[in-house]
Amino acid sequence: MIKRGFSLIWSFILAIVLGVTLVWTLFPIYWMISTSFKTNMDVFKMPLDLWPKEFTIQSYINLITNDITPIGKFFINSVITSLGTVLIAVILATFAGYALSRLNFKYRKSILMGILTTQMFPLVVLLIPLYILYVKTNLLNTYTGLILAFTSFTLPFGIWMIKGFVDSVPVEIEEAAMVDGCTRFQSMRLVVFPLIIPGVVATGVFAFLDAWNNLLFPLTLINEVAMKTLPPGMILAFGGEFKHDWSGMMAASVIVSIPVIVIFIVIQRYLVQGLTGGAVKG
Amino acid sequence: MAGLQLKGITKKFDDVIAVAKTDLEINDGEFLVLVGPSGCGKSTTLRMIAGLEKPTDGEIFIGDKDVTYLEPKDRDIGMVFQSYALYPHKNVYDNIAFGLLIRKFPKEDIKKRVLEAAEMLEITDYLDRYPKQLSGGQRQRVALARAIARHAQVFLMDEPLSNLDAKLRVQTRAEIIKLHQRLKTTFIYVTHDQTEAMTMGTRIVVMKNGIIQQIGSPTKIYNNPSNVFVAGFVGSPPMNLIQGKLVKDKEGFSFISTNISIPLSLDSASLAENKDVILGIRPESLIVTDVNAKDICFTCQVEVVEHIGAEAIIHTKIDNGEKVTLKVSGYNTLPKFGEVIGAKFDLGSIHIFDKDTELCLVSLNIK
Repeated sequence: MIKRGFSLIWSFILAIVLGVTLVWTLFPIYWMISTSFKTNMDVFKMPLDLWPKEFTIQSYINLITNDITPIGKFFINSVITSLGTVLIAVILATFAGYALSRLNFKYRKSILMGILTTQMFPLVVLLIPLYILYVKTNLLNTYTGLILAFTSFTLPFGIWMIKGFVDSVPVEIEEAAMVDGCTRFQSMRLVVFPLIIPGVVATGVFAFLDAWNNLLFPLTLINEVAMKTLPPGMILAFGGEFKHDWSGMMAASVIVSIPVIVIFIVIQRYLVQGLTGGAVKG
Repeated sequence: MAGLQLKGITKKFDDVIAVAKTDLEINDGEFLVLVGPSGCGKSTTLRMIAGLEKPTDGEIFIGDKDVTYLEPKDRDIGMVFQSYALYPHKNVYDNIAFGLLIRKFPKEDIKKRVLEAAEMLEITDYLDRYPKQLSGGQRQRVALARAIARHAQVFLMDEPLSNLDAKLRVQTRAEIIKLHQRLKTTFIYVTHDQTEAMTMGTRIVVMKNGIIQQIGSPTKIYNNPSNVFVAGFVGSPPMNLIQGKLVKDKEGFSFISTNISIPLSLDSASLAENKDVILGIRPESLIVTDVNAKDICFTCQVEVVEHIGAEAIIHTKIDNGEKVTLKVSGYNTLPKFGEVIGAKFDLGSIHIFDKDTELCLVSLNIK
């Protein structure tokens, strides 16, 4: 009886903790969705309404019909730069991670630590030098420039992640492959790569999110409206010194979140494997 | 099928010498076992033959071909690893077929060879399974099948049984011997287990600290160990090694220790009077006798008695504190802890080793 009572209390506490965490995490998303269906008058009304009194989809209509701020174009820019970053970062991280895990060369440890050190600088510190560099190399307002910036920012994490995954693949398996007739590249491609797919997927997702959500790089390195990605584009479209179209911005946010949510649902299985697999040597 | 030759092969890791200048000739179709304690260089030697380590110096020939600087894939070898090293993402069939696929064998040929290898190792029922769905013994069979499917010239095995439980080990051991008899290919087998070495090898190479101590057939290694290390390493329980001196009288040399005096009744040029020597005698060459018996060699005090079925191992201590082990068979009344017993030589050999060089000076048969 005592035990049963104890476990009931325990379950109750657990439920409360979980509930609070859930509300804490999901409320902003709820608020985003709810605001996107409010009129701009309602948004500023005090006390706040949890659910729009006047339910309207005007913000969404504005989003599609508005041709001053081309949200569609921003979306395409975001997709191109994010996918470009994913492609380059995943390929580079896979090769670099493999090399740093498997090959024995001079200064391997120093290189690894060097890569980690780059992560210690806040992004903001790098913005001004990067801007000057981009002006001199004509990379301002280009997809290439943006993809390069995103990649350099996301690559160190990717390399460490892939290295961890390759570390967890026993060397003997590769040695067996080489005795079986593989070259080093074949053994990497046919034996190691299939085993680190969760890591590669996780790296890809992180690269995508890094690029998709990044505000500072495109805000600084892109000043042509037509080249802007979603985060700075949305500020341009809905924010400003004298205007705050919150419901419009939230409607855009909902639209922008959808691809990210879809990606997460599709590859969630790999991602969870990816986040735990490297560490516990599955 | 081919023989193998190592010429002055050396391997250094930074300043550590893993394998000192080694010459070794392995005959075609031989089952050669490299045995020694961990860190003796046996695995490194095998890995150099496989091409997984580059030798610091020396040459390796497989048949007539110098393979010293060839990649593993160009050496035509099959290898079985201690950890099985199966491809976790491939099923058993694909694991065995992988090497053939890489070498671009025709599809029907691959199927034929995979099935043949699977049949030989009795794993035909598991071809669709993945490695994680197999037991340790089954995994090791798959690894063996993968190695033999390619009909390589030389098979290398790096402690393939040490991850298996005792019963399975004995069973798989017999299967590997059968496999060798059937394939008649050169097998090079690395183990730290002297029992495996003795039961499997047609020839044994005993190694220590990167240096070959002795090469020979199991019987030769057992009956004529070339030095103290080999004498102590091969055999279970190991050979008794007792320190003492040689004394000469008119009947020849005698071995003298604290309370032991053994007339060797022999005169040999390799022996010298007053020389510090180590006497080696196998536990099974000693039998328990009455303390007052005339032909007693020495007395000793019983410390532990181990029963192992039909045999018993008696661990004792002699007067100078050195340990002596006796292995007795049958269900005779066994001595008890603390009891003082007599020991005398039965059938077998006595070995006299130089105390300084540890080399065997003379081995002589008793009776």
